[in-house]
Amino acid sequence: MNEISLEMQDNTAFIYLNNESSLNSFNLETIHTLNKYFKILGSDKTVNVIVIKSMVKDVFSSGYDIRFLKGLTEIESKNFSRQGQNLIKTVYNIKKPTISIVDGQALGSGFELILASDFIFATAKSEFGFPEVNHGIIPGFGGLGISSRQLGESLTKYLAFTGENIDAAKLYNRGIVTRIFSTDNEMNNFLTDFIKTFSEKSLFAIGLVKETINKGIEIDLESALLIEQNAFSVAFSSKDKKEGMKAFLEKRKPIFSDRWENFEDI
Amino acid sequence: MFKSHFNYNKDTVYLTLVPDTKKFNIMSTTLIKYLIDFINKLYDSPVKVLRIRGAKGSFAVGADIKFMHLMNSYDAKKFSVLGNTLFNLLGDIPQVVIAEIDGYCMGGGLDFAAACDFRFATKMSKFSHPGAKLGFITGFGGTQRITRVMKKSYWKHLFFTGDVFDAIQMQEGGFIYETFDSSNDMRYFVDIFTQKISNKQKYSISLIKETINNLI
Repeated sequence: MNEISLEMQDNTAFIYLNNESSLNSFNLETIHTLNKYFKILGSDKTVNVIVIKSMVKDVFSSGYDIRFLKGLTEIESKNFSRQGQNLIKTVYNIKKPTISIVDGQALGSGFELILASDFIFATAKSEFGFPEVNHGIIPGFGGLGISSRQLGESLTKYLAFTGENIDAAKLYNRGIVTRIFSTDNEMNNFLTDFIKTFSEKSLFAIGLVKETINKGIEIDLESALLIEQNAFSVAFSSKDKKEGMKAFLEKRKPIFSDRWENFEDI
Repeated sequence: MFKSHFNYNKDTVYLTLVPDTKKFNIMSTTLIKYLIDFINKLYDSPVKVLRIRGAKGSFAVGADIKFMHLMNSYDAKKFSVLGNTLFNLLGDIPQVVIAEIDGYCMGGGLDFAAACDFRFATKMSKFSHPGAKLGFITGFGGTQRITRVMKKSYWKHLFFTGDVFDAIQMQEGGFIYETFDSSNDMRYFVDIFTQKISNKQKYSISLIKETINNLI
């Protein structure tokens, strides 16, 4: 089996991390492959939801591939960081729901990657952290910024300064982990149902709300409100809005058809 | 249409929105204009606290789908500007604005609550943003205000699925300050809470509100 593989189940794409020998650590090739997959899936009209999970027992990702990093020159490490940030940006900005499935350790770049996704499902035993300080480096994929915004400044500093791990329950309380499960099996059953909820939703509206929030959260409220105003107005010219409201008034289920991928057809 | 009751004591104004012919309080153009007018008058009054309640099972449920169904983008922008005028006003006035939610609080009604300084709710209350189910997004500021007060996993779930949340979930997510078993319990608690604000100097309260609002 490949180190990273893709599988389609109906309209859901599963990305599997399956590099047991390196415990799913990240080198340049890992980043390129993941970025390529996320981009392809983002542009694929048959994909509604993207799930990323590990096939390696008890590990989502161990973080950076230290052996790989050790061989990098300064300029290569700068490039590595930039490529990693490109991956995180791709995931963060993708216009469809992304779900990370964690059963075990999600450290360093693995932690950065899941913070960029929309939903994190985790088993209770899962642990998260930034161990880079133990190796004399720092998180380089943009995780410090994302983490400061989502976990808060003080907790991010604590994790990055100490290299200590934090458990799933603490991240659940902070609103980072979406849901905690006692077993992997229970998590996968819930995932199946959760994915189904998106089959009756407008992916256009989801993409629009994601874009509006992603941009708005970075800026002052007044400008953010203007972004929302204009997004709201645009939605009113979509087929999905017409169908969604018509279906509501006719008390039937809507059949949505607008897709973000259409904007890529020039 | 709707009816509204309001009465003052020296420090507090109570505004109750009562649905008239419709089942729930709907954020209609008429209601929004009425509220803008009402709140504008508070600016220079000595009142320190504005308490807003719904009635008959809803705080507010957002705009009428039948009305929005007929709107084009131009109408939508106009409607959004109107809603934003009201909700920006709630942030700008020197009074502390409290939403007391007992029942449905959805769509534009949720944006309404998000624009208040404090939100309290009975445990019977229900919350949702149904845009993903209806093929549009909210236009009254919810995507920006709710994401600034709620924890990430909660607002992602709320906006991406359109699922209905109960008051406890909204409290866990950071949106609701306190939940109650009955509307009487809520009223009693907010009475005491309000006194803690109204025994302070109006100017300092409004300065704190302005400073905090400018930071987020």
